[in-house]
Amino acid sequence: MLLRSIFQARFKPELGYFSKVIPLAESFEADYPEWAKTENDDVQMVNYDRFEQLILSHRSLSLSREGIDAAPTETSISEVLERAISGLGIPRFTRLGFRQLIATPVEMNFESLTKVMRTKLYVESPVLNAAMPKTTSDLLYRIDAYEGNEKFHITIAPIAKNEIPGKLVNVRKSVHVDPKRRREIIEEAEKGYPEVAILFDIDVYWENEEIRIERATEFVSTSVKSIRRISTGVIDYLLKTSVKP
Amino acid sequence: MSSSATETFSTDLNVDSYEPRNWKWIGVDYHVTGATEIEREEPRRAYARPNLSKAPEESEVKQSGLTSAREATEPVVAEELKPNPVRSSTLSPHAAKILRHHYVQKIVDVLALLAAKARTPGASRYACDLIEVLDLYIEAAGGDPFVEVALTFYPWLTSQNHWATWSADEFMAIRKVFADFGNRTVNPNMVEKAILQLEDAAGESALGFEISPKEDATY
Repeated sequence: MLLRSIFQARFKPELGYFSKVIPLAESFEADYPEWAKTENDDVQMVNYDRFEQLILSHRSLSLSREGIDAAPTETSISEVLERAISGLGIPRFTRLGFRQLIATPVEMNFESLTKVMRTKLYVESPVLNAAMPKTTSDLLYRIDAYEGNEKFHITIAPIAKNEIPGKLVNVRKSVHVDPKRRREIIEEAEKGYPEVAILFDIDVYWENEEIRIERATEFVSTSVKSIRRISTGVIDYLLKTSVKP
Repeated sequence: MSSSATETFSTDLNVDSYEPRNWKWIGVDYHVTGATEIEREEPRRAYARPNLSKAPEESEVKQSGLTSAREATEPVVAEELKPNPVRSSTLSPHAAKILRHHYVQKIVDVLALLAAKARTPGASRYACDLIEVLDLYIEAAGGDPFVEVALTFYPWLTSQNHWATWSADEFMAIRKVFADFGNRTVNPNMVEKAILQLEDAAGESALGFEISPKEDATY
């Protein structure tokens, strides 16, 4: 279950942004009818039907989706990127990032999941066990990693249903949600949350002063695949129930 | 996930500003005693472990869930294989299954390495690994009925040192028992069969006490 997706492209700030951003925002108005302008001259635009928010800033553009179906398609990201690149005249990016929060339901209670994750994600040593308190009640597995030019912030943790609203998906305060339908949407969303789940917070990014704009689409495609590979691979490992002879 | 952990989730994509905590050495002269004082012969656990050096009384069999070839014919043993309240954990059945497969896989893997080094000095290293895995399994999954198999196997390695005398074939036969039964649905009969097959695979020397006709007559 996808709780949140965020795509962000950063670029070098230029003064020309301020004259270009309003015409660009107007061109997005059909897709993102609700809008607000912040003190920093960022333009925030929202599509309540898709729970999607677009933020145009002098140094970045961000597209995020949160709530029931939090998966912006690669096509929608590519379309936004294409229009923003031509609208703002962005020559190259300095950072491209794609982050997803995924909750994978499991058939066990929270204590059991914590024990499984403690056993399988951390070093098992009688010496360490003797040194540490006997029972682990909660944990967080957090690493930063890289593979080629692809970098990662990866967080894996057990979560209970009551931890999702407010902490992970803040529908009550979310700008993605139509204020008039907020209560109805909250109830619908909360019904679908799993009792206990493994949370993945995976942030994939490229960071380089000279990322060519043509490579943005490639980044989106590879980062989606990387997130899927990591989450499914870890799930297979954590929940494996067979002995290989 | 704890509340402090969840605080790291913000709508801001820029999470690369993460900084490790500023840990300070508090100057305590810390003497790690536990690291050197773990006794292999009697590992830490909150429940009884079979002592195969003497024939058990019937009451002991009921309390400990002890199983061996001798007791296999007695129905009370199968009854005792059900998890008792003292040993039951809060583990969900699915979690118990995951942990069982995790540890049995490790046991199977180490047994393959032991088979390759059977009756050589190199076997000692893998014997240590195997004892450690068994220790961890018994500690972590005490409520799992399949732990009985590990408990039966454990003293053969620790107090009887059979790891030094078993041949590669014997290691592989033991490995096959763990691999075969590790994948099956756990029930008292299955555990019973696994233990019997384990004893067959390990050979008579592993039983830990001699069965002389004279003693047998008085038992």
